Amino acid sequence: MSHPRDYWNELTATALIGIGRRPALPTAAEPLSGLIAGLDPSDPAAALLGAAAATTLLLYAGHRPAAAPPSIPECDADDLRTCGSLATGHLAQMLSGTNRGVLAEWLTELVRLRLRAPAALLPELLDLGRQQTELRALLIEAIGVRGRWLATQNSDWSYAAVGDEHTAADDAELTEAWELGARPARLHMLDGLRRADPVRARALIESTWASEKADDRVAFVDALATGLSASDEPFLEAALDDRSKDVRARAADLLARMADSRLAARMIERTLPLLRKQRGWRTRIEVTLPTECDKAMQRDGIVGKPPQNIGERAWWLQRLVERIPPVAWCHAWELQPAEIVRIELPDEWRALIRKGWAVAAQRYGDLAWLDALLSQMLGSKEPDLDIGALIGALPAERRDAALLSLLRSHNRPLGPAHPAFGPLRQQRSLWSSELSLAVLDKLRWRVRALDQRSAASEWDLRAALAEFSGRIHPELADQAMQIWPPEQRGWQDWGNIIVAFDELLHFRRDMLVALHTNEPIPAQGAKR
Amino acid sequence: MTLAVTELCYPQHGVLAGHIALPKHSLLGQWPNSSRVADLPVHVMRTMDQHFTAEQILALAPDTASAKAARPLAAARAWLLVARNGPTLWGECKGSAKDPYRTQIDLSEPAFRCSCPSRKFPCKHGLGLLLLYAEQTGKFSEQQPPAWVSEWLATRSERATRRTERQEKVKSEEDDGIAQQRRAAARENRVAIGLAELDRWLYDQMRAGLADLQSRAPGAFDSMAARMIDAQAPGVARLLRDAGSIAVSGAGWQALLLDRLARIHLLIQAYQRLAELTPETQADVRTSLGFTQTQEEVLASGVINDRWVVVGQSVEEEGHLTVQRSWLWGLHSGRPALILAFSAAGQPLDRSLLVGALLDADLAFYPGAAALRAVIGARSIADTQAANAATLPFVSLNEGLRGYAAALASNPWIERMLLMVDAARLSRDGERWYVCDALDRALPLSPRAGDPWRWLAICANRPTPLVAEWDGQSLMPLSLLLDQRIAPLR
Repeated sequence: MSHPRDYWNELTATALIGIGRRPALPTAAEPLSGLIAGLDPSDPAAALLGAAAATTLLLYAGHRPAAAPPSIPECDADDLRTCGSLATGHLAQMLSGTNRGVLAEWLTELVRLRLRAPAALLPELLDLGRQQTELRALLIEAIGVRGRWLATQNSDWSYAAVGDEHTAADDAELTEAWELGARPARLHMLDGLRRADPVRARALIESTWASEKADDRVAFVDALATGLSASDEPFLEAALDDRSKDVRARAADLLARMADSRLAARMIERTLPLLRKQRGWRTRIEVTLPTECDKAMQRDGIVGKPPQNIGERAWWLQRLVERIPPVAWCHAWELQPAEIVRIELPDEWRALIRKGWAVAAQRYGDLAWLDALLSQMLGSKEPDLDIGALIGALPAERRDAALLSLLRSHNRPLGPAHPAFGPLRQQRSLWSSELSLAVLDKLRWRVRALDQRSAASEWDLRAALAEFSGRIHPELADQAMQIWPPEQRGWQDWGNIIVAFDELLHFRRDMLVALHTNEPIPAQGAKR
Repeated sequence: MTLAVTELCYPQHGVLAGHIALPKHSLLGQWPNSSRVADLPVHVMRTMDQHFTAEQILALAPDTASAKAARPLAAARAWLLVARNGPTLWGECKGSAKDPYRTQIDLSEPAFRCSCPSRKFPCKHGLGLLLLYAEQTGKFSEQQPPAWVSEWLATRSERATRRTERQEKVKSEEDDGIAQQRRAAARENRVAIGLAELDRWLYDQMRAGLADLQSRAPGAFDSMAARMIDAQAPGVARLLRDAGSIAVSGAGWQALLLDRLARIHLLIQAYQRLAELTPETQADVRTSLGFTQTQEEVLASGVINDRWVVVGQSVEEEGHLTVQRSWLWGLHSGRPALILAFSAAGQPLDRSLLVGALLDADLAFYPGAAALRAVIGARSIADTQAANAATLPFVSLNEGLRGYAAALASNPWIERMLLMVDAARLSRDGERWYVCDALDRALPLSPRAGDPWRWLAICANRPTPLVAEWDGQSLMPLSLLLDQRIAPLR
């Protein structure tokens, strides 16, 4: 007995070329044959349509589900509680584009409170992480077990397809996860392990180093920046002879952050003779430019081409000064940083050397040097160094205080002309209440002086207000609104800036309150 | 691995018992497990404090842009005032105009009204106010409605009265229409002539072959469809246009096109022998041809009062028309009902059927052997979250398809059927997705559904009851039963 599906295929073939050309119907088997025998044969076209109607209905009615292909594995039990419905609403709003700039703040708080993002929004969050790579580390935590499982199902989300490898108990498990893992999983694993046990993480890298591809080696060296210590020095020193130019450059860069590395010692030896302190009635510095950049210098990271407005030799000098620990000058000249920064430098090289010192202080995180340069800048009418970058190199807990003293050391309204204006815009972190109040106080002074005409051209102030409303402590949301003279709310454009400022601050306050109170989603289907 | 779905099972009742003489029984009572539901005590309290979920509310949005725009308005700060009186909410929202917009909602349907100039319905203010209510009910204090709210309530109840009167008028007018009878006879005549012509056209196509027809598609179908509009058989016109788009749809078009043409042929044959058929099948034939009844006529023919759960909803574009299909399940009657709503391009749809809600409503079914389509008469929301959802008869894929076969046996022109699948999971074979059940059987997911990431995210691929539409080829997922509650997948 032929299957009705075969008969249907024959009918379709006949219909395709036309019953005019093939005037006989194919022969049917039970249960169709009896029925089709009853059709009027006088018009083959009618008989074909009749047979087709009977057969197609039989097939549709008789359709049965096939054996299932392997099912997608179930997700493991969820590890964290979901945030509440109000918080879900805030997240949905940010994902739809409103106030998206403060998503990182929301995610940070979510992760800190050991909550996870709601399941229904996981696909959108995972999509967001494809473009916004800086959010990935946070996202991977915020999406919980559910989100990381979901990411394993879609290659677009592979960056988040990571497990809990870095918490693996024994070495064998860890080694296996390292050897078998895909690149995103391995990088996530390294990141976690470098925070917890940096030596073990480096040992993993070394275990497979020789067989890794160049771009993986680059990523692994980058991963060492977290938890960098003297014990990484021999590995990095060896990486200076790597086949890949990028690996060599990255390794040299890391070594030039470690004051006791062999690279730093070689650099000091090259650099100290170039700046000589002259004794006289006033201390002076005599500058010699390096004459060549030999193989050894190149190996230590002095590579690349100088920017247009600077000569090759001068550029080599700048790179050398940037890359030696600034404490080396203190030892060589037997002076304190605060004394060195006041030494008179030859006009021609002053900017170059001071910039080099500032960069070196930031690279090596040398607090004595940072303080010396900053206090000099605070007292200066025309600061010649990037104060924001210097403050950014301070430990997080000292940045607010530095900004605060910068803000207070100049008694004028907070506009583009205030030396704190730029550094305040540069700092990405959130501000303490004290700093926020000081900013609001000086900002009020500035906006009270505006008239409708001048407000229209305050582009820097407008941009800064949008940034500040993302950093002012959200508990001050209501107070912040009071800096605006009421009539300004009616000004064209400027009024919208004010509304956006208030709106973002209040949104941040509301979103944090919602996360903290985290009321559960009302029981589904429950009656009140 | 490829799946060949060839296993056949023959329905006991004769789909093919003479392909025109269809069985007389109706689908009612055959629906799997219908008794299980009918025995359930329905004791859902009518409550004044309706609770809506954010996703239910956002599903009411006419488009995604409106849903996005509504979000920021779900903050108390966005409103100058919000208040309520029983099931009525209102608020004043500062917009770009001088006066604030006045927004009001009647929760019992829900119905929206706003003084803003937006052509979207419901507008962002209405959605935002309802979201705010859902998330922060405490912000709404009980107050006497101001004049602008009470006026609206008065016009609404007036309109409801007028609608009832109109239904009664239809009843009384039915007998006295001699002119109407003459018009009806003229139409029957036109339809008969048109179908005879279509019959000959079909035979010509079968002689020349589908390959030849495809080379003239979709133009040949469109001109024949236009001819059917002239012949006052718009249902056939739609079937022809549908066939025309299949002819140009790519791989596998031959079998699909033959299927559609064969069903049109069956329809013509049935019409030519209309007098020999049961009244139910006559009604199905006439409906498929495009004879319509007004909602008032259907309601006048008698209603079924029940507790209806809105189990799923889909919205699709068909030409210039937006079609919204809402599937309801009657808790006592144990039967599905399909409520269609149409809107011409750009016009708002009736969005008052909330997925997951329990309605206390009178439904009147269009006549037919497997009566599915219905209209809603008097109704009120008994609960925005149907508490009995977990007791709905979710079944295996096999059993679900048996219900479809039964319906097809009664009415061979059924296009889509409600399928409530128990313990559904997703599986994948390369780029193709499948829905599988506890017995490890699978049906393909409709390509129209896109990648089911949202579904996967919210159910974690744990076995979950699924509400879907089956069109004979693939499953279109509509909603899931999660935590005892029906959640739309849109």
